[in-house]
Amino acid sequence: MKIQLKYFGKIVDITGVNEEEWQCTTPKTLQEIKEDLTTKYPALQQEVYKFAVNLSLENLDYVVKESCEIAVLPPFSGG
Amino acid sequence: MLTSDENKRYSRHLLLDQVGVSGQLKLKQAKVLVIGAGGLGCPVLQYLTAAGVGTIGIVDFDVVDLTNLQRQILFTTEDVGKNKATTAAKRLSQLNPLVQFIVFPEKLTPQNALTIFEGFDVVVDGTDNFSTRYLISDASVILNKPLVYGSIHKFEGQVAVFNYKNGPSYRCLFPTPPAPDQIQSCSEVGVLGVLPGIIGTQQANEVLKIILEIGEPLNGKLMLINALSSSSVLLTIQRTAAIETTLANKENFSQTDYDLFCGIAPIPADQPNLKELCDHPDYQVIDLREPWEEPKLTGKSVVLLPLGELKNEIAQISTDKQVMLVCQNGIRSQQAKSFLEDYHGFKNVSNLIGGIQGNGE
Repeated sequence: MKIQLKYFGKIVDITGVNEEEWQCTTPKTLQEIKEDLTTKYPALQQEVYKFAVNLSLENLDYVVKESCEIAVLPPFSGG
Repeated sequence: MLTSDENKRYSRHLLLDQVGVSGQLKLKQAKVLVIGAGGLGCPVLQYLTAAGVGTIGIVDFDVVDLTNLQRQILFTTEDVGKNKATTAAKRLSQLNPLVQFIVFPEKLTPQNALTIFEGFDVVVDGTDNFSTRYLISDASVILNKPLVYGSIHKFEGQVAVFNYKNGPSYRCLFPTPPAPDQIQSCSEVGVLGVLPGIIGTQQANEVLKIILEIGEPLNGKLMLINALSSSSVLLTIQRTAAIETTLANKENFSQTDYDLFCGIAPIPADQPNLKELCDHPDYQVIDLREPWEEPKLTGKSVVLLPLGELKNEIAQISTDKQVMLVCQNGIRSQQAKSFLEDYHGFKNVSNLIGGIQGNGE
């Protein structure tokens, strides 16, 4: 299945891209997506961020399905 | 009733069905607290003042710096060195003398927050650090005040309304802060000058909608704005148990150490005297700040080496003296210490916890 990942804020500095498409063999939880992300981008290990799936903030036990759009969202502190 | 002066000044509001005289009277009766008169606070304050919000509180302990003027549009070159809250109120009074300003030229703390918040209907977060953001969030939850949140990073911003009509709070979105050495501030990574203008104006819009009870405030929503792609995204946020946890701990609020919660180490009592180290023959004091940051450090042992240049200038770091890493708030020096120890095996480095600001230099 295909999923779309969109990165925000400091996460873009780590991934180097604003968004990318991933192919997954089976449905995955956000926890598993997080682990895959950390494997691909080890610097994410130290980052705090939340996931939104199809524009709704979801917990790590949420199961991602075909064509989901996942936003990877860190907090900003600047003002 | 509006006076004839008010009828004229606010005539473009009065023409709108959604505002009118009754809406303008709501604005006149409203009391809004703006925390931080910086990049976000300046546009928020300007539009709320122009719109005729009757009472506006301004909290900011900081003084205007030359680097602020690229985006903090209430201030002029002559204002450098003056307190932001006081200076902003003076300027805003010229824009609209009908508004009453209550100035708090002090740091917001768990000890003074509830007393300050009590007198206001809506709170606006325009601060620049996580410790104060969590402090503001908790105080707003405890007093059940709507909180209009805004934050920025380089070319991106976030806007939301928290604690509004049983909606989520900031902690429902981000329960925990990032580690201090992972945080990048405007002074380290930069920010496009107009970005806080865009985000602050969105915050002002949310405040007006809340007061006027019109439209749909960003309740349970997080708006993400990207200035480079001129795009925005609206995400849905759910209320979580974080609110009940904050309320259950409200007795302990005034004793909470928000710096500690955000991983910022307390300043030890036995911390060395920086002034003495700056001329101490056995020490090398590395000032990691940018050349324009004040106050300057002087002394025979001081080396200026901005954090961004550190990795290319390892040879400058002394291997035989005691190295003291120094920055404004202790965050950059903590990053540099970890970097020098973990990647270059230095054993003779320490950092000034709390930085030059925290140690009252």
